[in-house]
Formats: sequence, C-alpha cells, structure tokens
Amino acid sequence: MSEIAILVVEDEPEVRDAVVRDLAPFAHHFRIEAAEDVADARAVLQELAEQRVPVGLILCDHLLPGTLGTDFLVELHAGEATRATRKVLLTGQAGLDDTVRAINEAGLDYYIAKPWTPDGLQEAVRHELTEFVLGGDFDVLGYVVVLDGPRLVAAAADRDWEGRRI
Amino acid sequence: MDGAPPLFFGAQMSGAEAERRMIVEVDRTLSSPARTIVPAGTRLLSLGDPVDRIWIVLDGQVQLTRTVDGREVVFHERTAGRLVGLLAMARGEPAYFDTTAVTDLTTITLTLEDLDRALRGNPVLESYFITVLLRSLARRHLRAVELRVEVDRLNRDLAADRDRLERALADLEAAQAQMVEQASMATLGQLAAGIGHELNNPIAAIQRAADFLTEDLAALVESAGADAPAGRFLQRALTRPPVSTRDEREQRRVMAEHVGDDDLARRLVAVGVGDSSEFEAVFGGLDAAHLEEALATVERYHGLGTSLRNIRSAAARIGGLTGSLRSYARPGRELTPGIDVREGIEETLLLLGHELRGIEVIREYDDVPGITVFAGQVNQVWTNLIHNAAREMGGAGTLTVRTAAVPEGVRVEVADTGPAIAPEHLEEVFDMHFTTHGGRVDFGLGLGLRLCKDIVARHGGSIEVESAPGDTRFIVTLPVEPPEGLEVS
Repeated sequence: MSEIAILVVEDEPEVRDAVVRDLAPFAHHFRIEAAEDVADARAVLQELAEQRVPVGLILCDHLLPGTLGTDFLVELHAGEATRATRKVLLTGQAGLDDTVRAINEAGLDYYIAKPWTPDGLQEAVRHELTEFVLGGDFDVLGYVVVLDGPRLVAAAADRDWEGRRI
Repeated sequence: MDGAPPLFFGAQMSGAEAERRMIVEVDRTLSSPARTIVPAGTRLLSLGDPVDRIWIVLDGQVQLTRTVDGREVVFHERTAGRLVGLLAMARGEPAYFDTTAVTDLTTITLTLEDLDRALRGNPVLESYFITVLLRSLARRHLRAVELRVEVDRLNRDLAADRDRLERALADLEAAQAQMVEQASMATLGQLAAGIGHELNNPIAAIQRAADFLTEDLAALVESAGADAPAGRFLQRALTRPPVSTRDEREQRRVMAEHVGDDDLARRLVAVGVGDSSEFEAVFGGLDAAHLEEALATVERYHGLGTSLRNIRSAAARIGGLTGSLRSYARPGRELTPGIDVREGIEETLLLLGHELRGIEVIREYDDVPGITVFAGQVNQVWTNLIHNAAREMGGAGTLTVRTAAVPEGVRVEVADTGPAIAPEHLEEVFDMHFTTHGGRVDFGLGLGLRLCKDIVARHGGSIEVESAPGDTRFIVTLPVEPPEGLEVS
C-alpha cells in the first residue's frame, strides 16, 4: 500500500540515508521519497501530484542549498495540494526567528533537533501521519498497525468502508 | 544757600562728593538727625518685610542677599550703595532682599514722613538725593548686567564640559565593548582550540574502528561463502559515491518498467541495482519467494556498507573541521612569520561553510609573500568579512576572494553580490554600532568591522570599502613586516 507519501528533504547524503533508514518501520505503508534540495523536492511533488499520491508528511532540513527549509515550508503551506501535509523541521541550525516564522506562516507541526533519536523521530512521524490520515478521507483501518491504532480504530466508527466520513 | 542746582549737576561731581553734600543737606533740613550705630551681622531688612524707613549708610558695608534653593546668594555688596530700602519704600512694596550689616554701620534712619518732609522743604537735597539714587541704581543695574554675562559664560562652559563628557563616555563605552569582544574572542579561540584538540582522539578512534569493522566484515563475508553476491554489495556500498536523488528516481523508472513492480524497483535501486542487466545477473530466474529472500540479504549487506561508509565520511569531515579549528584558533599570543593569508582564508571558508550554503565561492588567488602577523587576529578579520558578505547575500550569490602581492605587502579582497552600501554610509561602516535600515542591515554586534579596522591598523595595514549594487568589496592591505613594537592587543 502506498497511497500516501513521506518526503525527506536533506542535502547531506549521510544524513539523508540515516533519516530514510530510521523511517523503515513506515516503509510498507507509506511511499518514502527523498530529495537533496528544494528544486529536487519540487520535482518529486510534481511527480506525486501526477500520480495522485498525497504527501502526508514532509521532513525538511532548514539549511538547504540556495533556499531555507522554512521558506520552502511556507511555499508548501500556500499551495493547495500541500496545505494539509504535516510539516516537520529536522534541523540543527534553525534560529528562533526562522522557527517562529515556520510556525506562524508555514503551519509547522513539529520541530526535531539534530541529532535525533530513532524513537523520537518515529514517534513524531507516527503522530503527524495519524493526524494527516484522520484529517482526510482515508481507509483509517489500513494504518492501525503502523500509526496510532487506538485513535484510528475509534475514528473508523465514523467512516464508511472506503474511509469517507459519514 | 547757593541756589537750586540743575537737576543732574551731580553728574559732574564724584559719587562720594554727591553723597557728602546730600548728608549735609539732610542734616541742615532735619536738624542733624541722630546717628545710629548698627553692629556687624544685624539684619536691617528681610525679604518680604514691609519697608517703612530707609537707612542712609554713612560708614560701613551692607550686603544684599537672597536665599536660592537653600543657599544664600549675594546680589550686591560693593554695589549696595548708601541708601537702603529706598526702592521698595518708594514703590510701597516689601523688601526685595535680605539686607545685613557686614561691618559695624553708622546710619541715619529716616521714616517715609521724615524723608518726605526733608525733600519737600529742600529742593537742593532733592537734587542730591536723586543724584545719589540714580548712581546707586545705575551701579546695581550694571551689576545685574555683569551677572547676566557671567551666567551666560558659565552656561556655555557647562555645555562644553557636558559635550566633552558625553564624548568621553561614548569613547569609553566603545573601548569597553571592544575589549569585551576581544576578550571573549580570545577565550572562544582558546576554547575552540582546546575542543579541537580533545576531539582528535575520539575521532581517530571512530575512524580506526570503522576501518577495523570494514576489514572484519569483509573477512567474515568471504569465509561465509564466496558464491553469495553479498560481498560485492558490501564492497560497492562502501565505495560507491552517493547517488543524487534525481538519478535514483530515474533509475527507479527504468527498473519499474523492467520488473513491473514499483516497490520492488524502489528496493532494487536503493541497493544500487540500477539497470536491467545487473538485475538479471543477480536475481534472474528466481521465483518471488527466493527473490524476496535474496533481496532481503542484499539489503542487509548494502545497509552495512552504507553505514560504514557514512561513518567514515562523517568522521573524516569532523576530522577536517577539528584540524581547521585548531589552526584557525591558534593562540594569538605570538607574532608568527611566514603566514600565508590564503591558508587562513581557506580555514575560515571551511568553518563558515554552513553560512555559505547556496553561495558560489570563487577564489582568485595570486601568489602572495608570507607575512608576520598575529595569525588568530588576522583570521578574525577574514571571518568578519566573509560572515558579513554571506549575510548580505542571504543565501544566494557569489563570494569572490582575491589575493595579490602589492608593493605594500599583501592585498586581500572580499567581494559579494549583495545590495550596495549607500554612499553616505561608506565612511561609517567601520564605526562602532553602525547600522542601516533597509539595504544592508546591522553588522553583527556592530563591532565586527570596527574590530577588523583595529586589527588591520595595528598590523600597519589598511582596510577600505567600495560598494555598488551587486558588487561590494572590502579591501585589506597588510605589510609583510608589522610595525615595530606591535603587541598582542
């Protein structure tokens, strides 16, 4: 099943590898995409849009070549297709001003400081994706094993068998 | 009697003569009124007292004072004159001053009626009286003018003193801020050098451990059986340069077409199987279950290799940074000969790498002679200039660093493509606390460029700035040998 994508934007290959590997528990249920800069991330988003795969979560570094992660998140928040996407900054360098801007203007959902722990990262991702799934017309029961099961089961009572809210 | 004198005839005689004649006339008209001896210190009149008599002071000195903010201020002493109380009495107002005998006085006291009677009956007395009164008033008036002039001069002196103090205070604050900045930079430098040193051991251990792991793993894989492709995947992951995410996506498209399964294509490309011939060579002919088993094993080995490679490259980066940190922050206590400015600039560029992301760095290095400087301080100059340039460009632009040998020594130019500094601000950028709003904003703590100028000047060099939109250049010139007697700070 890969009807929802996770996008990781990180320019350093070693760090990107590590993030993607720490997302392994989600790999069977979500499509994990990686991009090394903002231009590349836009190409991925374009491709996903063409395939009608919604982006559930974006994990974005702050200092990226040429663009700040915060600016990119602001841009995504303004776009219709990515407004609902859960947005997480994964960074060691965002200052207070940038972070405040990310929260106020990009609807930043979570901030993970580097170095991260796998548990912390997975917990944050699980929570954010649960929010995303509950916010849309998805088959919530399909994610019970990988996301926040109890919340999804409780929510399933309010949905038809295709996941639409009734 | 000589007949009535003209009104101002007293003007031709001395003041003392006019007073003498006035007293003669008083005595003549009022039958020599009694002389009163007033002891020194006696208060004749207090401010606000009703005045019903005057004192003609024949001998001795009075003082006219007022109490201002709790302090007694003398308005008239030399200029008090011989007639006390006349002005207030004539106008029917209370006393204007506190009037006190400074010495023992000999006085004639006249009530308003006495005076009236005397003046009415004797026009000569009236004339002398007016003369004495006019002279007395004139003296007091002149005294008032003098006081006014004096107050004015004091005010100007005070204003000048205040300006001097303000300047001195500003200079002191600036000097203090600079000392604090320098002291904290020196402390930070020592700290950085210390940390750089301390990190050497653990980073060496990590690097060695990664090498040992690699060796042991390779040996294990070999002894487990050479037929498995595992060893090859391990080796490839260890040595393969990182593939761009773009290329990976392209390979996935190709593989998805070949194997007809997006997820499988994704996993294959992730382990470096990016073309169909390799897929056939490794996995060709396997049924789904065996393919899954083989791929899972390959993924493990690939993962091992990737992790080891990442450990090694990350450790190498830390090693490079700590090396730069140690040489960049070398203790600035000694003048070091033969310093190549290009090395300091390179270390600075490496350490400021995080600020330079997205910025193209162009090096135009001409050969330069080695110079004798406090290397740590000079590195601070490069740091400030490069940091400012990076900030002005806001993450996109071109930083150009040029070095050249010039007759005066070495010339270093740091150029950025950020907005221009307004011409009227060019002179001020090296000042303490200089900030502009709109266009180029404040420079760090407002100390950076001032510090640069001080450091360069101490080394006998110069720093200049030229600015046009998209081309701002800071130009530093340093002599090969510093001036005699250069000390740490």
